[in-house]
Amino acid sequence: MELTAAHDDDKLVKKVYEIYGSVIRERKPIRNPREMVKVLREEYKLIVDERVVSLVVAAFMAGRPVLFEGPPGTGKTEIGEAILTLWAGKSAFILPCSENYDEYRVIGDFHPLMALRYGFTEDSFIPRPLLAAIILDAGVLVDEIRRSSEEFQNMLLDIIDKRRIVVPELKRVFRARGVGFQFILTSNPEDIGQGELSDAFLRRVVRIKFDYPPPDLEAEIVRIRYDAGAVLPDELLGKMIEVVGILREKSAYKPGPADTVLWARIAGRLAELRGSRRVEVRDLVEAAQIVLYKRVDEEDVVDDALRRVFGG
Amino acid sequence: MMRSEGSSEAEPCLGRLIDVVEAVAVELRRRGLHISTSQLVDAVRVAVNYSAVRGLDPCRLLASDELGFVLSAVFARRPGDEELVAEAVKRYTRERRQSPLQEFMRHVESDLRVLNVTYGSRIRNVQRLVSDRARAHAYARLKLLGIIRRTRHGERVVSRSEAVGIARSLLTSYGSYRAALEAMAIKDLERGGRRAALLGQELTAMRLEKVNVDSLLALARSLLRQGELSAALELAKRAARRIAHGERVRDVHLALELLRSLNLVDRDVAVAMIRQEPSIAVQLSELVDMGRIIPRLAHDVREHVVAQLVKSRKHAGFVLRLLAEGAISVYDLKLVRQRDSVLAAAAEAAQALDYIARALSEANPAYLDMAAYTVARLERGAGAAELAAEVRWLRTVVAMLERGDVDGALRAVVARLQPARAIELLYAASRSTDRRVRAAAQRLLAVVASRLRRSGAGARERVWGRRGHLDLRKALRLRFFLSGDYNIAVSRRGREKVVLVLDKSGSMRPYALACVMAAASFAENVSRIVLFDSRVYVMNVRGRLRLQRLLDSLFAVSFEGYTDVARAVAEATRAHPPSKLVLISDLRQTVAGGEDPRAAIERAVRLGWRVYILAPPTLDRRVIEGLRGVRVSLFSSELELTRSLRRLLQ
Ligand SMILES: Nc1ncnc2c1ncn2[C@@H]1O[C@H](COP(=O)(O)OP(=O)(O)OP(=O)(O)O)[C@@H](O)[C@H]1O
Ligand SMILES: [Mg+2]
Repeated sequence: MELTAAHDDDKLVKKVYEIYGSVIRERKPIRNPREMVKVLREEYKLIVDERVVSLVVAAFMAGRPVLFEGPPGTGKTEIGEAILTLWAGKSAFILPCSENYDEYRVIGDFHPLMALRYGFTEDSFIPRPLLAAIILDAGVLVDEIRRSSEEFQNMLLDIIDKRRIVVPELKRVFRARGVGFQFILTSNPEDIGQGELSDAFLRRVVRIKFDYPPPDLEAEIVRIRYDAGAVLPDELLGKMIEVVGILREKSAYKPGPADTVLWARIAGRLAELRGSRRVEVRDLVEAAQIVLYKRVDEEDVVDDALRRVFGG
Repeated sequence: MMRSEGSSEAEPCLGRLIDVVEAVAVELRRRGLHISTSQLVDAVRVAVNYSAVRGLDPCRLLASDELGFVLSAVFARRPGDEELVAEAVKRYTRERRQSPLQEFMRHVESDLRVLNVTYGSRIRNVQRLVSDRARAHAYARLKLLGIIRRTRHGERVVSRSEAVGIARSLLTSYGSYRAALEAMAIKDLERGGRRAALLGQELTAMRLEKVNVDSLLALARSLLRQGELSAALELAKRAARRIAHGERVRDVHLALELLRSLNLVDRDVAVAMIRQEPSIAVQLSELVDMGRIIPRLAHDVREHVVAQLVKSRKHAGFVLRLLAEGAISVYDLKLVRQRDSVLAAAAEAAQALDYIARALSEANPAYLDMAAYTVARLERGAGAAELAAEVRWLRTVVAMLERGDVDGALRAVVARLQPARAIELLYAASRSTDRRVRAAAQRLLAVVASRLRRSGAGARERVWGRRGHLDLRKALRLRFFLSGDYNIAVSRRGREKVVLVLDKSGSMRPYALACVMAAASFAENVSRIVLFDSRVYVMNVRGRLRLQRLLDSLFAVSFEGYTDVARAVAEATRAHPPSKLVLISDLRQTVAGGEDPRAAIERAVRLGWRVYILAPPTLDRRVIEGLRGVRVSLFSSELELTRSLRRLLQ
C-alpha cells in the first residue's frame, strides 16, 4: 500500500505507511452483501449467510461495532477478518486480546532509545495497530474480546464511538479518514476463565450469534476447504459429521467446523501417504486420534462415538 | 425524533418499520430489559439500513422473521433476552395491521362515540354520564389519556390535532395504546386512583406489576364501592398473592379487613401477614386453622404469637388443643404469662429446657443447677399431671447431664427443639470450652453431614415428621433454603464454577456456617472452598463436597485469633483458571507483615478473576474503596447473605 500525496508531509503518517504499508494489501472494496457473500465463498472459501453479512453492513453504516459470539471453530475470526477486508478494500488489522493488553500495545509507545535521543516526540513514537488502522482507514478485528480488561474495552468503545484516537503525549488527535475504519469483535461466551462483557459494552455492539452449522452446511464447508488428493466419499463425510454431532452433545470439548475440516484434511493426507486414492474408514479413525483427542479423560467418549458411527 | 427521518407520510412502510422498532423497545423495557435511547436510535438505524442493503422493502422485512434477528442483535444482552425480543417482535408485526397511531385514534374515537361527543365538545353532567357502566369506562379512558380535560369552562374534549399530538407523544414513551393507557392508569393510582377506578373490569387486563400492593388494595376497595365486584375480586386476589409472597403492606389490619370480606385469606396470606405483624394472629385465628400456621413461623415469632393467642382468648383451651395436636410444643410457651396452672407449668418447662440448652452450650454448672431446680418445682407444682410426660423427659435429660452423658443429652434436646434452635444449639455447643460437649456436638453434626450428603432433591415438607421427632436433614435444608424465603434451586449444567472464600474468624463464623450449608446445596457449581482465619484451609470440590471435613475445619478453633484475608485470596486463586471468586469476609486483616488484602484482591482481578465480596456492614471499608472490577454487597443478616450467595451460586 502506497502513500498518497495528500498527507505525505505528516511524519507519523509516513511512519505508519513505512511500517504497515507492505503488509496491508489493497483490493477493490465490496460493500454489497450479495456480492460479498459470493466473494467470501469463492476467494476466502467461507460460507456465510447473507443475513449475517447484511447485518454487519447495516451496523457499519450505523457506525456500530459488531460482536460475533459463538463456540470455537465456527469461523468467527476468519469471517470477521474477511468481511472487514472486503468492506475497507484493504487487509484488516487483528488484535488478539489478552488481559495485559493495554493502550500502549495497540495505539503506540515510545522507543526507549530513540526517546533518550529525541525526547518524547513523534520521532521516537512507534505507532501500533489501532493507530495504524485509523490512519490507513482499515478495519480492525478484536479477537477474543473477553480476554481483555474492562479498561481496554472502555477505551475501545470510546474510540469506536467518537471515531478518533487521542495521543496526549503527542498532543495529537487522529480522526478516521473514511468508512473503512470499522470493528468486529469476537467472543466465545462458553469459554470459562474469561471475564464477562459489561452491560455498557453490550449496549453498544450489534451482536451476531454463531452456532454449529446444520449437517448439510457443515458438509459444504468441509468440501470447500478440502484440499487433499484422495477422494472423500459423501457417505464418509456424512458419518464424520454424525460423529462430530455426537461429540458436541457428549463431550466437554466440543469440536467446531474447524475441527471437522482439519479432520477431513488429515484423513485425506493419510490416505495419500498410504498411496490410496480414496479415504477409508481407517484413515478417518487414525486422523480422529490426532484431531479429536483433545483431553486425556475424554478419549473414551471419542472412541465410543467413532465406534457407534463407523461400527467395529 | 426518528419519525421525521423516516417521514411516515411519504413512505408508509418505512414509517411503520420505525414505529414497530420503537414499540418493540418500549415493550422490552416494560419486560425489564434496559434499553437506552441511543440504543433505540441505533436499532432504528440498523433496521432501516438492513432493509436497504438486504434489498427488502421495509414492509417485507416486517413480514419476514428477519426483523427479530436484527433486533435481537441490538437489544438482547443476556441469555433469554432473545426470546423476549422475538416475542415482542411477533406481537408488533403479525398481530397488528394498523400503525400504533391509527390504532390509538381508533380507540379514542370509539370512546367519543360512546359518550356521544366529538372533538372540542363540552362535557356536561359528569355524574349522570358515569352512571352507565360503558360510558363510565369510556370517560375514564379519555380522562386518563388527557383527551378530556378540565378547563376554566368545565370539562372539554381536546381538538383533533391536539389529540393526535397527545397520541404521538404517549406512543413515543409507551409504544402502544394499551401500554399508554396502563401507564396513565398507574400514574393515577399513585395519586389515589379516582379515575382509574372507573375503568372497572378493564383494569384486570392490565399487568399492574409496578403498582404497589397498597394501591392495589385501595383500588379494589373503591371498585367494591362502585359495585364492580368481579374486578375488585380479581385485583384483591392479585394483592393477596403478592402479600403471600412477602410483599409488605402499609396497614396489615386494613388489608386483612378487605381480604377477609372477599374471603381471600388463606394460609399463605395468613403466614405472611403474621410475619409482618405478629399481633394480627389473634384476628386471623378466627379465619384459619392456627394449628397449620404456627409450625411455619420462625421460633421467635411463634413464641409471640402463642403468647398473644393465650392472652386474647383468656382461657387456655385453645392453646392446649394446639399442644395436643402437636402444632406447638411446650417449649413455644416460654413467653406465656397465665394464671392457668397448665400453661404456667408449660412455660416453666420451656424455661427448664432453655436452661438445659445453656448448660450444654455454655459449660456453666449454674445452668444445670437451675434446670434441676426448675424441674423439681414442676414435679411438685400444679399442672404436673397434664405435663407428666414432658416433666419426666426433662428429669431424664437433667439426670443424663448430671451423670455426664453429654452425648445422650444433646441428642435428646436436639430432637426436641425447633429446627432453628436445634442447629443454633449444636453450633454453640460445638464451640463450647468443654471438650466433651464439643466432641458430642461435632459428632452430631457429622450425622447431619452424612444425611445431607445422601439427601436427594428434597421437597418442601414439614420438619416434624413424627411428633417430637426432628429430621435433621430436613431441618437443615429448611433452615437454610426452604423456610419461607429460601428456595432450593436446581442448578443448570455447564455453568461457570465458583470459588468460595469464607472467613471463619470471630464474628464471621455463624455466616460461614450458613455459607457452607449453601455451598453443600450447590456443590456442583463450586469448584473450591477456602475457609480461613489465621490458617487457610483449601478444599477442591470434585463432584461431591466433603461436608464433614468442611465442618471439622469450620469448627476447629483457632488459638491465634488472627485473620489472614490476603493469603486466603492468594490460595484461592492458586492453580485454578480464573473464574468467579466469592469472598465472604469483613476484610479485617489482622496478620501483621503479610500482604495487604487489597493488593491480593487486585492481583486476582488482574489475573482475570471476577471478584464478588459479600460483607457485613462492619467491614473495613478502606480495603474496598475505589477497588476496580470488584462487586461488593453488604448483608446484615444470615438470610440476606444466603440470598445473595444463592444468586451467585445457582
Ligand atoms: N462458515 C464457514 N465457512 C468456511 N469455513 C469455516 C466456516 N466455519 C468454520 N470454518 C472452519 O473453521 C476455521 C475458522 O475458524 P476460526 O478460527 O475463524 O473460528 P473461531 O470461531 O474464531 O474459533 P475460536 O473461537 O477458536 O477462535 C476455518 O479455517 C474453517 O476451516
Ligand atoms: Mg477465533
